[in-house]
Amino acid sequence: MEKPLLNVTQVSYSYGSAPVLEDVTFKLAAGEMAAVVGPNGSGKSTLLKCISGLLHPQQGDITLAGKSISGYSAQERAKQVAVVPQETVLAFDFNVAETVLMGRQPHLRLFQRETAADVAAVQTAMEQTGTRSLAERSVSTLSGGERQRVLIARALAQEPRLLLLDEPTSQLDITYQAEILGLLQRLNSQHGLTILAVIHDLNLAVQYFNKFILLSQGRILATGTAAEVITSDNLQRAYHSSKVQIAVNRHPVHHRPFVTVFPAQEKVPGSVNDKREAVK
Amino acid sequence: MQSLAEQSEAQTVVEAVDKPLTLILKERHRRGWLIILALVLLLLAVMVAGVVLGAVEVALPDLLQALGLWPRPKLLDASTKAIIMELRLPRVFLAAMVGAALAIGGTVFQALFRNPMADPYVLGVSAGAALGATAAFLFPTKYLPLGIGLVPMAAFGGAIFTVILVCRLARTDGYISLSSMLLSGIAVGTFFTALVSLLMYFSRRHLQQVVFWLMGGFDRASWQYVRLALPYFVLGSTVALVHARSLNALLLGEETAANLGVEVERTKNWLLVGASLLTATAVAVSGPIGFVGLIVPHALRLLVGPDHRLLLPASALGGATLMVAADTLARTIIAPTELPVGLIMSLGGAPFFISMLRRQKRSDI
Repeated sequence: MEKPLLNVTQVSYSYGSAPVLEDVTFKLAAGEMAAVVGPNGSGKSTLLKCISGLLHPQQGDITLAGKSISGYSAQERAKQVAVVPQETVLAFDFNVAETVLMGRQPHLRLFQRETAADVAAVQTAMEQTGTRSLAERSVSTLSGGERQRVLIARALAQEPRLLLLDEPTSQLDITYQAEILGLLQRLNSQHGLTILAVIHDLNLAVQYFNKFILLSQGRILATGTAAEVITSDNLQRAYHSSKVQIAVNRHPVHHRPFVTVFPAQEKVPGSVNDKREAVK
Repeated sequence: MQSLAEQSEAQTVVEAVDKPLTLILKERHRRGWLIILALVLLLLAVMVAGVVLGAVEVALPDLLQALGLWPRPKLLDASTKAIIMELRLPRVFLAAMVGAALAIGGTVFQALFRNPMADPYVLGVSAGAALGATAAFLFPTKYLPLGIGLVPMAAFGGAIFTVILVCRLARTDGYISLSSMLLSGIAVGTFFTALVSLLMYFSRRHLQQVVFWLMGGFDRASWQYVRLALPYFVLGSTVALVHARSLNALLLGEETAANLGVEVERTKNWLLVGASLLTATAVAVSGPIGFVGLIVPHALRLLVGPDHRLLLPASALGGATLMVAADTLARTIIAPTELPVGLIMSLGGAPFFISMLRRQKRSDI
């Protein structure tokens, strides 16, 4: 394998005395498209914030293109890593073009006005995300799906090597979810952008991502392809709850893993249920 | 009405496909700079009116002659010249500076706190300054630092002390949390206001002086005041303008700003220092004058949009214009008696503000 773009080595992070990430280690090669999955509170968002430099892990090291993330200035880092956050305030009266232009911030010096090159980068980002026709709209009037595409456009205008997304589809209906993830897949396959996204919906994730990182209680439980990570054993361990049981089958259409969740008392056909019975 | 709005919206969407991006991005800027140019002219006009109007009217040619812009054979009489050069001009300049300072301070605090209710006094600066000033009234000395009396110095000291205290209270582990800063500002402000009342209660002899100071005004204006305030004004305004683009990013939240490459903690510290310096200077030379720092950023945001590269200079000019106009009105409305300018500002400002908010269709900021 060639030199990884992102190298996370034995990272631990705790808020006060509560550990959130423990001994997290994984690599991401340039051009990979990976999903971070796991239950609520497993440390997914914290991991993303450590990689984007917002949080500083107490232990371990994160290197980007061979250089420690803490060694970058905020400006230099923003040229390498762009983030599409989970929630953003877009209440101000900026129009879409102005919002995407803000992605050029890390490329500008003090008092420097935006150049033709900056406008070209904005143009490209807007065309890639299909937001060009929205250019003059005020961001406060956009629908959820449009908004998310504008935020991705702003991130692309930074011309990053690594794009981080925190639950980019959680607020969207199913057609917008497919649209956004399809967009990410295109950016990955056609433009070679490396993508790392936190995704809650496992069935959606297996359709679009080719690498998975399963977190549970701050530790990595499994990494690898969908078939390697999304198994009923892994999920039962990650989401260990007595209230539900998780079955993983083959999807009839795309043949990738397909996850179904049942209440614990229901009789479910499949391996998970049998195993539970055996334990009892 | 509704269908008309929908129609025009649909139209812009169709046009946007063809319209070059450069044009879309430049349009608001061009409009903004035109508004700024208009504000410069307006400010000049108001300043001239401020010198010419008053208990003693001054003819325009006299003003030009006093400024050396119109050499006339006729000698300008000494009292007219003194009125222009020693009373009216420094007063107009001071009012303009204070108005601009408060408007910039308000703009910065509204953006930093992402709160439309924030004004330059949000960190308790006016209460701290009032405490300093009241103490100076109560314990007068013969000592006149820098030839302007003790009160402005004490007010400035009180204001700066308050900001430092509030920042200390809001700082945990080296990070300033803006929301706890807002709360500390209110708490400290309330406490200091109570102390001012306490001092006033026990020293009724100075009651009138303190009350008048609290209403705010420029009746003591002199070149000395202008000279002392100018460096702080220039420093504070420069800090704000340098960070204009970072302020735009900060509007989107601290995390997003950091992801866009802004050094958030450093920028926040600079802006807090700059805006506090501007506010403290304004309060020191004029007493607390409300509403300018609240209204002007709002009104100008409606005119030029949310981009701080335009909004900051526009607010500064708007604040200066409004303050000079209000002060001129305060001097002339029941001449020869003067009303406190703070009173005029609140009397005229509050209804204007309410009507503006009612007209504003959707709430931006």
